[in-house]
Amino acid sequence: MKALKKTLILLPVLLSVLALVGCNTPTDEITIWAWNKNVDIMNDAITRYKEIEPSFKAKVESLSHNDIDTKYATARELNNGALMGDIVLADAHKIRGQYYGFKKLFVDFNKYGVTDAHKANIVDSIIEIPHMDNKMMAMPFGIAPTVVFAYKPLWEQSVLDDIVANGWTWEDYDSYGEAIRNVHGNEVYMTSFNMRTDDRVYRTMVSQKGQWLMDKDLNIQVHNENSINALTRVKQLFDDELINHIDTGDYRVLMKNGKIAAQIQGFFLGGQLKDIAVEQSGNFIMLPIPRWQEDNRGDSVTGGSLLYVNDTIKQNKKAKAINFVKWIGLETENTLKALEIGGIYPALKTAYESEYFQTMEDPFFGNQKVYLDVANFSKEAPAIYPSKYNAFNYDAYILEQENVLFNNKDVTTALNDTKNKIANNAQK
Amino acid sequence: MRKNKLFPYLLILPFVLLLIIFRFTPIVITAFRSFFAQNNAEFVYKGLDNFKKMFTDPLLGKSIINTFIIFAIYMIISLPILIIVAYSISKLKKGKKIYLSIFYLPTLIGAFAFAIIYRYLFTYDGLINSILFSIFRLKIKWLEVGLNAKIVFSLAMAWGSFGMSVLLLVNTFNSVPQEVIDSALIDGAKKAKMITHIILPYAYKVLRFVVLTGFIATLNLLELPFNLTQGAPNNETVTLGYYIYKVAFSYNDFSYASTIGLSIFIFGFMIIVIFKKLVRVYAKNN
Repeated sequence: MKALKKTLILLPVLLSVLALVGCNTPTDEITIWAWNKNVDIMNDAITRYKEIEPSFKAKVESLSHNDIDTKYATARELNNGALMGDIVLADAHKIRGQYYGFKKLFVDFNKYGVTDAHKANIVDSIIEIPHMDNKMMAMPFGIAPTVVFAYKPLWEQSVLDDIVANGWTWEDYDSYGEAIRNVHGNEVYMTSFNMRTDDRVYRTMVSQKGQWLMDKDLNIQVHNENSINALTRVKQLFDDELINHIDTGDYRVLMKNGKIAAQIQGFFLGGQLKDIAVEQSGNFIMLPIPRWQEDNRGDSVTGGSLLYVNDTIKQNKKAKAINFVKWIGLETENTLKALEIGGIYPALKTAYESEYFQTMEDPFFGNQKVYLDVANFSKEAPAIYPSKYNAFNYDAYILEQENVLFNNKDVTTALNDTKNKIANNAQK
Repeated sequence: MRKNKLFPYLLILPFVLLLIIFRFTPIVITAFRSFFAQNNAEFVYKGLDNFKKMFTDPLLGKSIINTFIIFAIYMIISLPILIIVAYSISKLKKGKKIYLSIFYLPTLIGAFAFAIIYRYLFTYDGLINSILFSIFRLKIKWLEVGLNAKIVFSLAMAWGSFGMSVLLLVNTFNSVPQEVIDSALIDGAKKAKMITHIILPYAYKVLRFVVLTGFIATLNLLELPFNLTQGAPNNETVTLGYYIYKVAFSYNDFSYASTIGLSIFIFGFMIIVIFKKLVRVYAKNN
C-alpha cells in the first residue's frame, strides 16, 4: 500500500518533468510551419541564411493544410497567437479569411521596410491578395500558374506546334478532344477530376476573366455572364465526355498510363509527374491554357502561397522572423532555389529574368524551356481575390456544379441559386 | 481508519479531474459559445440567433437525416450478424480466442487510417470493384450514389466496432447459467426459441450498449465523409460530425458550430434516455 501511495505521489511530479522536457524549445528558435516540398525548401533556406546570420536559429515543422487550419482555428478561438508557428505558410485562397478572423496574428510588412519598389517586383496576380486594411500582412512566396499538360503520343506534332506558336481556344480544346477520342478510343480523355468536389476547370476559365466567386470588394460574381459562359463550357466538355469524372480525383494515375491528352492543372503537377511517371519522360509538354474566343490570351493563375509572421511573438524573435521572410521572399536567388528544390513557381518577377530561368531545359518535358514558357503563358494573368467567405462560397458553387453536370440543372438557375446562398451567408 | 476511507477517493480524484477538464468544461464552453461569436478577441452576444439559424439551415436538416439513415443501416447490418457470429463463437470448443482476436484487430486501426483503407476499397477503380469486375464484369458506383455511400459508411462502422461488440457478447452468452439452458431444454424449447427467449434477454444490456455506442459514434461520424466523399454526392454523405467540423474549421464559425454541437448533445442525451426507458419497459413486459 505504501509503495502504491509513493507511486501516486511521484507520478504527477514525473509527468510534470516530462512535460517540461517536452516543451524544451529554445526561446530564440523560430518555428516555421510548412507542408510537402516547402519543408525541404525552408530547411535549405535556413542553412543558407545561417551563413549570413550565424545567430539565426529555426526549425521547420511539417504540417498538412488541415493541421494548420485546425491549429489556426484553435488559436483564433482562444485568442492566443502563441499556439501558432512563428512563420506560417498559407494558401492564397485562405489567407484573407484567416486575416479577418484573427487580425492580431499578422505582421504588417509595410511597417518593416517592404516598400513599393519591392512590391513592384512581385507578380500582379498575387501582390494584391495580402493587402488588406492598408496593410501587407503576408509575403507572396509562390504562384500557381495554370497550364495544360499535353501527352504527346496522343497528339499530332503539327497541332502541338501550332498551339505553342498561336495558342488555342476552348472551342479548339473541345474539337481536338473529339478528334483524339476518335483516333485513340473512348478510354482517352482530355482532362480528369473529381467533378463532384473540384472546380478546377471552371476556376481556370473564370480566372482568365479576372474573377472567381466574389471580387475584391465582396461583390458576388458567380452569377454573371463570364461565370455562366464558363459553367456552360464545362458542361459541354463534360457532356462530350472530354472531362473524365473520377471519384478519387487521382488523375495522375491516368496521366501516368497515357490516358489523359491535355490535363488542365497548376504548374506544380510537373514536379509530381517527374516523381510518379519516370517512364513517361519526354512524352509530356506544357501548353498554354485555351483562351476565350473573344480574347487574345488565356493567361490564368488560380492560386499561390504566402508566408506570414506571427505578430504576437516576442519583439527580438519577430524581427529575426521578418528579416528571414523578407530575405526568402524578396531575393531572386531564394525564389529560384524554391523552384529548383520544390517546383514552387516564383512570385518574384526578377526571377524570370535570371539566366537559369531563361535557359533551363527540362528533359522530362522533352527539353522544353518550361520555366520560360510558363512565364510567357501566364504573364498577363489577372488577379483573383478569394474572399473571407471562400470556403462557404466554394461549397455553395461546387454543389451546383454537381447539379448541373450530374442532374442536368439549368446553368443560369444553378448559378443564381449559388449567388443566393452566398448572399445569405455573407449577410449573416 | 479515516485515512483508509479517503484513499479510494484519492485514487479516483485524478480521473475525475481529467473528466471535468477534458469532458465537462468543453460542454460548458460550447454552451457559452453558442450565444457568443468571437471576432478578433471580441465576444459579440448573439442571443438566440444561432438557434434560429439552425431551423432555417437546409444542410443541417440534411445532415441529421443522413446521420439517422446511416445509423439505421449500420444497425440493420451489424446487429443480426453480430448475434449470429457471437453465438457461434460462444459455442466453439477450440479456437475461440483466435476468432476473437481476428475480429478485434480492426478496432486497433486508427479511425482516419481505417477511412483511407475504405477509400481504396470502394472507389470506382478500387479493390472491391476490381474483384466484382473480374468475376461478374460489374462495377458499382459505391461512393457516387448517396445510398451506396451510406451503406459503405455503415459497413465501415460495423466492421470497425465489430470486434469489441463480439467480445462483449460472447462473454455474455457464455455467462448464461447452464441450469437455465438445461431447464429450457427439458421444457422442450427449440434452438431458435432458446436464443430469442433465453439467451438474448440475458444479453439485452450488452445489446443496448452496442446500440447506444453505435448511435453516439454515428452522431460524431467525421472521418469517413472527410476522407471518402467530402459530402458528395449532392450532400448525401454530409453527417452531423462532418458538418460541425466544416462549420467550425472551414467556415470559421465556431459559434454556430457550438450551437449545433450543444443541440446535438441535448438531443442525443434525450434520445438515449428515451431509448433506455423503452428498452426497460420492453424487458419488464417480456
